[in-house]
Amino acid sequence: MESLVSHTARINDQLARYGVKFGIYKNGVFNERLFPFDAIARVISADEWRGLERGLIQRVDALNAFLKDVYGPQEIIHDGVVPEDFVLSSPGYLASCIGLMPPKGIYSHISGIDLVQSREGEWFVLEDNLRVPSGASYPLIARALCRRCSPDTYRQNDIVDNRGYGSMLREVVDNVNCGGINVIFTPGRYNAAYFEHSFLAEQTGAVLAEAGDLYVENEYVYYRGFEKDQRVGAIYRRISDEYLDPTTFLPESVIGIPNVMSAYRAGNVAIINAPGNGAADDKGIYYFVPKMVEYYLGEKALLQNAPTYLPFYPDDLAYVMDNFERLVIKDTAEAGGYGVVFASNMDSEAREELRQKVLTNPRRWIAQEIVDFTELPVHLAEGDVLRKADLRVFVLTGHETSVWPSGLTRYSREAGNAIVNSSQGGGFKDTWILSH
Amino acid sequence: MDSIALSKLDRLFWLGRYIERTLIEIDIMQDAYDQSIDGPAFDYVEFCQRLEIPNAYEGVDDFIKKFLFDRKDPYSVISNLNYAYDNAIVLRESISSAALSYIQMAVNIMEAAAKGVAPMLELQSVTDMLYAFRSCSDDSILDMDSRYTLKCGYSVERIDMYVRLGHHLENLRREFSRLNHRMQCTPLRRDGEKLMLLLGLAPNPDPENNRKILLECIEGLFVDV
Amino acid sequence: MKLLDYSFSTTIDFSSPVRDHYFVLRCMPSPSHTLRVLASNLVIEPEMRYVRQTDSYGNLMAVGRKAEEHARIGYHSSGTVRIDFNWAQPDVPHPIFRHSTPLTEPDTALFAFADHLGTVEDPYDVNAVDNFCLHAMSGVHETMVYAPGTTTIATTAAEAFAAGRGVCQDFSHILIAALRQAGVAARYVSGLALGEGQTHAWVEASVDNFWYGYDPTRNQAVDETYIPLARGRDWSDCPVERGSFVGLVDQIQTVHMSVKEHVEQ
Repeated sequence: MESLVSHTARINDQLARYGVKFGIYKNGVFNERLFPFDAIARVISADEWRGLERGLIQRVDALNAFLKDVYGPQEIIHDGVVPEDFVLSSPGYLASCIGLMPPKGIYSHISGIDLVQSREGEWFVLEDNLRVPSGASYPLIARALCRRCSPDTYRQNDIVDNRGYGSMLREVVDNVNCGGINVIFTPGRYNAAYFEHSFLAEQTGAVLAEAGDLYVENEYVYYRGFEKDQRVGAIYRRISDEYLDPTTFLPESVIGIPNVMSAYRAGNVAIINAPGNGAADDKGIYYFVPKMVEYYLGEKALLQNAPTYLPFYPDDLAYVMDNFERLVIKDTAEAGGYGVVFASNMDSEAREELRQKVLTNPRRWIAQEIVDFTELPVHLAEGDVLRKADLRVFVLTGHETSVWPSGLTRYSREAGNAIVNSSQGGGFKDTWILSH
Repeated sequence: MDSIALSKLDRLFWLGRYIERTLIEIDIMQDAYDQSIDGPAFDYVEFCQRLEIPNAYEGVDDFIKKFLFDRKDPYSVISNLNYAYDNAIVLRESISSAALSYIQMAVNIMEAAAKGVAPMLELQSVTDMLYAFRSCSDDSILDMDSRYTLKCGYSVERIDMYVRLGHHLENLRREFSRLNHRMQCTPLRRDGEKLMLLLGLAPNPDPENNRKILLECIEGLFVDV
Repeated sequence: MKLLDYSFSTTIDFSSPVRDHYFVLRCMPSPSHTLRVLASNLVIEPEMRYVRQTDSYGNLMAVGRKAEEHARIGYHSSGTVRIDFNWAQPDVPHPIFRHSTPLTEPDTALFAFADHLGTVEDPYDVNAVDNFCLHAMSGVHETMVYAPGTTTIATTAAEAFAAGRGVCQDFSHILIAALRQAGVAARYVSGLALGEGQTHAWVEASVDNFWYGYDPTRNQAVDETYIPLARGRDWSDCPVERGSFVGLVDQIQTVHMSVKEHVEQ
């Protein structure tokens, strides 16, 4: 590791050469920045990984079963495991997908599961991302570049090669392809993850397309070629459901594929991930994932959630009211990082106001214990410092579910800060899985 | 071979044109810069006229600085290189990350040069990177339609600039014959009338007298882009 | 039993030509146990290719595309249906019809209105539920003033209720909000009613697993002269036409429909 770190400058040159960037909007202007990379990798032992791997496969299989169920017979609701309200009033639950079965019954082909490790070494799932999880390309290219800069590091450590992500992804897409070419559909150059879209297109041999390159006719999707048009069998779309099809979802979307849902409905094209997955990675549904594992697979969940309370249940509400100031309160009506507050950081008036909101409409909120997650060393010119870091692992579902032996480790920019989001100035690390 | 989208062919063609334009302009600017050390001042007024760009410069030093490095000047060399990059970045899976990285490096070096005191060395490196891109992409673009569309872009820009600037006129005939070969291998459609005129003029182009017609024919040769 | 002839035309005129026009139409009778289509014809002008599909609610759609430029598009749907309530069969409502949507989400005032209507005494007693729905329907009808042009397609139930006026869409949204509040599964229906003029909208409620229709605009139970075109949670699930095209234009839409009792020739 030391020899790799000593090559930091060379590695950064390589990252600049390959334009490893992400875009951010500031004051309405699009800017691309290099994604800061720290050469000190997160290392996970073979044993520890085996445990995580089993838990992740189990979790994603259960989430897929859940999606198939809630858009179909809804047995988990009838059996009282998940309250109807949490599924049907989730903004991610799309009525247009009721009764639609995606090719081979797979909803979440690429799942990004966010984990944190406590100081005691226990792993917790913080979030499931089943819609358009991004980030795999960064550790993927970083590994290739680090191997060039410091070959000895990889000779001396037994690190599982992670460069097979392109072929894993390709298998996943091929598995559900309904006849025709594979396409990666991007909202365009000015998307935060454009680097990733184009890099993955190259890695998987798919065609990169944007609005206007594809059209739908008679329930089939075609790629507009110069001499002839080609049928499209699978679309790995990198835009969210709302923008996917203006004749089904948001009518004002100009970055989508009009009528693509008609081809999907007819079973002529696979959409990856399937539309409607938001029903399973909602903040409120998260609470129920361990129960889903038991319900669908008949197994105990191997991976645990961060301790979570649903004020919807009277016992939990009482607990939340008693311990309000030391919990994280999350608004299930808000997406992503929005609507997440640490009660301890609020002044007493704001806290009281939020408390009343939770009391009046308990269904809308969840509360979590704060997990004091571990810090990892980050190399700076003036010496190593410690920063909070999480881990996004990519779980791929094709013929079967498997876990990419690597992952995106993100660290925060400032000491003590637990926000590791790249738009907040944090950086990333490679994640090494040791082979024994 | 799979059929490539018109939008991609269009980008490849313009990628070729902007790369060639950057190369030719750097070549000219290196001479201009050298002259500015102790020789007669470079005639930038005539240069702007020939290029048909507005003369928004306050003297030759201002011209050299802005024409090379001013991002806000849409005709500057750095802007042309950035236009090349804008086209290349959306072609990654067609041209390969390896080839794209040379354009990325050219952009990085150009940005460094803009801040430096002796930019000629850096400009030399920009040129190196663009030539490296040309040979790398020649190798990495397997699809013939794409490869030759890019090359048509090079040829069109080269003829265009030679005619405009009266630069390297001795190479003009050779470039015509190169373009004649390259356009047989691209799916882009040609304007038959303009092609006949160009072929007729190729043996004796006489750009001083035929400037207007030559520019019209070469700019409008391909109807799709 | 009723035999009805229907005809329904929509024309959209664009101020300048548009291209790459994709559309989804819900302008054909929506299939159900109580409705049989004896004849059905859909003509689209200019001629375009389209396919018939069924959406998640069971509505019939025509999905198609016109790539070439055009300045006008017309859909003409006509046919004969036979409606007979004796054919009704049990249909367990999808639970989604019990949940509010952005268009039907009640505010405090609408909550209070729904509260004031009382509760269903016995949810398994057909008459009790039906009576409650009729009571709620009349309640909406009496509270609201029918006033075309005062609301838009984006007006929510709460907004229309606060204004005290609206059209059949608003009346229906308010009734749906009130019924769902009382625990009755309810759905929005857009369709054609006996007579001539514009399309109409009403509400269906699940009464002991049978769908009963209520028309809060006309304050009457829906009879065998109403032809449903689309059903959904609210108006946004039932648009007669959804389109996407390339072109910056103004559009003028003309709609005409007629429903007559069928006379054997």
